Amino acid sequence: MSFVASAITHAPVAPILLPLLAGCVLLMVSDHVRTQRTISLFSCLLQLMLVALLLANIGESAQIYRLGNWAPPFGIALVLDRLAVVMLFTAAMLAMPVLIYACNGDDEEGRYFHPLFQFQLVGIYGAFLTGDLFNLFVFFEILLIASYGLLLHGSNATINPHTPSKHHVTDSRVTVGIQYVVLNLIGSALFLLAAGIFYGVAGTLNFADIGRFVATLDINDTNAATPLLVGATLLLALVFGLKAAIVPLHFWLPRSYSAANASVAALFAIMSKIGIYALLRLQTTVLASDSVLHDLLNPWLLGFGVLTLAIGAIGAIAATALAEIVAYLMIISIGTLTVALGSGSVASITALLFYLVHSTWIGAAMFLLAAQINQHVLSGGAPQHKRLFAILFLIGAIAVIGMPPLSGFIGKLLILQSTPMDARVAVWPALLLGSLAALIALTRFGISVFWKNEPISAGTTQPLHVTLYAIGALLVLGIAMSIGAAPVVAVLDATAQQLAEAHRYVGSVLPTGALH
Amino acid sequence: MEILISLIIGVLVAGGAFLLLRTNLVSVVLGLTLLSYAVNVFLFAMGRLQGNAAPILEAGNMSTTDPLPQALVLTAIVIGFAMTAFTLALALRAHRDENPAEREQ
Repeated sequence: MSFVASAITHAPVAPILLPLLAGCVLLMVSDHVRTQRTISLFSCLLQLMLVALLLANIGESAQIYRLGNWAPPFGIALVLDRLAVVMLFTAAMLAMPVLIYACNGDDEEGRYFHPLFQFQLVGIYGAFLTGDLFNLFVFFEILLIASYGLLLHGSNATINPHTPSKHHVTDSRVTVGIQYVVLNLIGSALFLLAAGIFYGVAGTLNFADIGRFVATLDINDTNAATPLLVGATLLLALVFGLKAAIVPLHFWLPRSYSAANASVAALFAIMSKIGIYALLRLQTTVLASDSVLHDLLNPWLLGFGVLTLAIGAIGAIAATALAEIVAYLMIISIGTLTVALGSGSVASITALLFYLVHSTWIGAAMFLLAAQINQHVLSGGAPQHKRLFAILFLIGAIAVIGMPPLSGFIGKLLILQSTPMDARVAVWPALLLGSLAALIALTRFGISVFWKNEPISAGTTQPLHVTLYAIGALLVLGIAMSIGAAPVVAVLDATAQQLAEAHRYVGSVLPTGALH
Repeated sequence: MEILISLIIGVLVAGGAFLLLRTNLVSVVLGLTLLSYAVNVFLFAMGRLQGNAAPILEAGNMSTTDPLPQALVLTAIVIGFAMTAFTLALALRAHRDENPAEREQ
């Protein structure tokens, strides 16, 4: 076969192999930071080009990659459908600016930032690509253990670098790290329990095959399959809810994201979205429209989504430091996504995807901006830098709050429009009050930082770092999403249509004479 | 047989949950270990408990066990062992942070 043809057949596994190879090479040169930076940036650039190619060549049907050429459901399959490509693109476009920001100094706090960063990307890309439940567990573990390492990176610093206020106790990274690690280990144990129940009842771990099995169940059967599957689905939703930080499993998020390094917190912006992605996969394969379990999660997701919005709103208003405000804004965005997930229509999946992409990029930009504002404005800096940061903060704030004309507004509008009629009385006030809380919190911070009359300091005019280009790149992505909203929504609509047709997913993954 | 395994899994989960809620970090790590033992026995039991049967298909032999859950358990054990090692190192680091006066002889 020619090189191009074989490259196309092996394209689905390339996003997993590229960062894995880069991480292994980086482990060997862990002494020289400049070599590490070069290799890491080159690897991220290659991943970005690869994912852009995949996005440009998105097709009607999903591309299935069989690992070891074993046919599913007995073999593990990587499924490169539209949703996987959209999520890969979001992650790759996030990783590049965050890595550029990190090369400015964050990566020198400890020794192994770059290998951990690449291994984290392995886990993230793998979780988006896999079509098998236990393989999803393995990729979750890869990304979790890399995230433990990244969270604790540079933990010799016990002072929280983001919090200049004296009003609350600063947590050391080690303390916060322990809470994060233990909670996620419990989540992993529950994941295994749920996967075990799925295997014991359905006899398979492949998403498509479980979907096919659930579709053949009859609600009038007296066997125990349906109640057991209900229990397993709810347990799995619990685990994904812990990952996504849906209330009441959200307590780890504000502390972890405030204690982490700026670039680590920015990369973690996509980690909670992986939980939402996994719930979406669960909803469109196992709980598809022709199965007995169809409407199992939607009421719970709507209820807990509204609760998450409320808690996020209260937390955002109560927070004092910008990193903490942004962490609670992240909870508000998770609540918005959960509500969109519970709406259960094709239009709501489109809205969910648009808002997911937007909140990943803009949330990361705000975390990076928070650290830079802390460093350059709050600790004294030149006035022209203050103006520049004020402008960046303004753009970021408008995008995060959801004010027109930026992408947050379009996303929230799509979600409001796609909420089911009988849920609107509870969901619309929650969404709008969440935006109001974000507005109050960010405006208060902006006024107290940027509009104070201070004596003109004879400040040192430091040259602007390349970090500002990273923040600017992420904000430009958000602006591009709002200017080009029509084509973006068209692509995401096609994605949602493909997801809604579960039988086509099953048909493309399982060979037509599936042994069962 | 199934009742015995169910009771064992229940006792392991109960012990693990109790230890997880303790304030001592080593107790928490032990609780996580017990919980992972319970999950591994559960996964193994999902392959249907059949004594004296190998996971090999033979011509005249009708009693075989399902090899897939055993593979899942192996993977889970390996992942769990790495996580336990990491968590213990983290617990040691936290202990050293809080008691800076102690030094290894």
